[in-house]
Amino acid sequence: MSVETIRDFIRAEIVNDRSMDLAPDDNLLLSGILDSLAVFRLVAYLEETYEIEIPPQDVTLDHFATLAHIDAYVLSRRG
Amino acid sequence: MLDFLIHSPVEHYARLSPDRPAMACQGAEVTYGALDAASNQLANALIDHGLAPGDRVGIWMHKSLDLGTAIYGSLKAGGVFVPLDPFLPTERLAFILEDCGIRHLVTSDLLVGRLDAIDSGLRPDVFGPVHESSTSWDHVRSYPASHPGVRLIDQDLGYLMYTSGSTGEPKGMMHTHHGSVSYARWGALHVGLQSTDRVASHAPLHFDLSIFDFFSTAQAGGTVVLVPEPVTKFPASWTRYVQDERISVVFTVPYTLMEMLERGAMEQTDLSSLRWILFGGEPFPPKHLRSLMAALPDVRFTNVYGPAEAPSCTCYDVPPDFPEPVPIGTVSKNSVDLIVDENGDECGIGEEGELCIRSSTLTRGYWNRPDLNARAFLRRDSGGPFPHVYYRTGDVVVRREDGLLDFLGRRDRMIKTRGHRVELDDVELALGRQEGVVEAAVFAVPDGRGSRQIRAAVTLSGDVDPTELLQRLRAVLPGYALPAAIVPTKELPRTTSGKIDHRQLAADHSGAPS
Repeated sequence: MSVETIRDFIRAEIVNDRSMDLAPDDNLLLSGILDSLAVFRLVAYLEETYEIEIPPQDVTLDHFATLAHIDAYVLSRRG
Repeated sequence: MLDFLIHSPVEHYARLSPDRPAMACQGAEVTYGALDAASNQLANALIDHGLAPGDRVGIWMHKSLDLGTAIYGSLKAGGVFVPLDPFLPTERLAFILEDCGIRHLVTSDLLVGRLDAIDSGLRPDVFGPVHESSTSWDHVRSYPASHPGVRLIDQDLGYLMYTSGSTGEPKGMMHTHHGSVSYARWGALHVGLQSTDRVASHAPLHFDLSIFDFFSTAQAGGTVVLVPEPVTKFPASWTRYVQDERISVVFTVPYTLMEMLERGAMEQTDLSSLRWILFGGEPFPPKHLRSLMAALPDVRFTNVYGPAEAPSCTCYDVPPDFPEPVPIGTVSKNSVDLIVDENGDECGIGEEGELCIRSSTLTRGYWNRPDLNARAFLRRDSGGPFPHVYYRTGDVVVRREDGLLDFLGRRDRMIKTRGHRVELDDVELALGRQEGVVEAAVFAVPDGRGSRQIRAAVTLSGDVDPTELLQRLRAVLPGYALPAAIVPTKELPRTTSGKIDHRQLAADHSGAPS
């Protein structure tokens, strides 16, 4: 659901490459796509776009490792 | 104990207590016995592939249990290991491979594909991954686990550490076994490391804090707990990792600790295993340090100062009522300090000058850079046949009445603006103290009239008006030291080692103030 939107944000705002290949299961962290600054920009974006609150204890590896993980997490917060 | 080489303690504990854990990562462990045997196998494989003593071995890996094998295998083969950032862009990797002539590289499945992008002339012999023309770990394990028997002395080089030079080209610092062991032993003694300690390897391997993490821990026969890079990017995952891996000692940059405090969900985590936090790399904003110390009342805190050229040359065990700014303390037992003014004369108490360091941890200089080596070292008459060699840190310090040293800033962070000398770090500290300011970065940009103009970027908590901040600064700073603009921002740019990237800020803000 939100995979496309989040992918677009990462492409446009974080890696600055709109045509970059990014599959839902690609590891965003080991590949260096997300660094700690980017994580917090992404969190702010998700909070605003999906009108959710993301508490600090939820900003973890388990929720942000891949696009699929982020999607699942956002869904759980909106639920 | 024969401990004059970096890898000697691993061999010692492999004999004495082979079943004790040497490395741990995400619940998995490798013992001293297994680490020593695997390192011998890699050493024998490297030698079989033509490695000669003194040859450089690149280590281009993420944090994993194989990292220890890569380090110790390279050393046991007589190699000089060169830690390479796994997030290094390919061009920079190619530069380093060529600069120091790396012909053997230990890497991983995840990274090896990126080598295809570099010039085949630079393509080193690859160890680790399952990949065409690479010697996989499985293949490495078919080599004998017997000691390779390479003869080394403590004056031989152990590792080459690249930092970004001021010209933009990375420069490789040469460190001997002797210097590394001196640093490692200083760390182990200062913190009183024991075999029961579990020391985090949080900093990247190419950052000099990791020398403490790996080698001080090995001196004590303790366990290095490798922190996978993804964990370091999430403060709440990191505090959870400290809890789950029962980490007892952490050496990191203030940024990591501030993030931990702010977003690490510390109150929901059991951090009772922690007993000592060392920090260094940049000044710790006092108000955040106070909060952290209040949140972790049973933990001891040490401010460690030292450029990567002379690591850990001074330190300060921070008491609850520490003065501001946090002093860098006194010189370590393996170092001698000399503070000199612009004419090279020694400074007295209360006089500002450049800190020069003579230390057994001192670098042998920069690889293939006689130009830099000529500038970086100061030779002083020792009264004997050999001069004393000091490293010029480029840092301005002052010795206080009580003998402690205060770090005032980088020499290149002192600027002249409209004829006045301004210490950018002073302005930064003053701005950082203001209510509502989470973090401040102050930098200088060309003003277009041959002089420089001061600018600031801040991260804020809540609604603070930059104009109001400027008003408040007026009360504490002289007019010529006030920033021409204070720009609120979401996050400050960081270098790969977690320090505020002032150079990036200056480049981003070199236009007219908005």
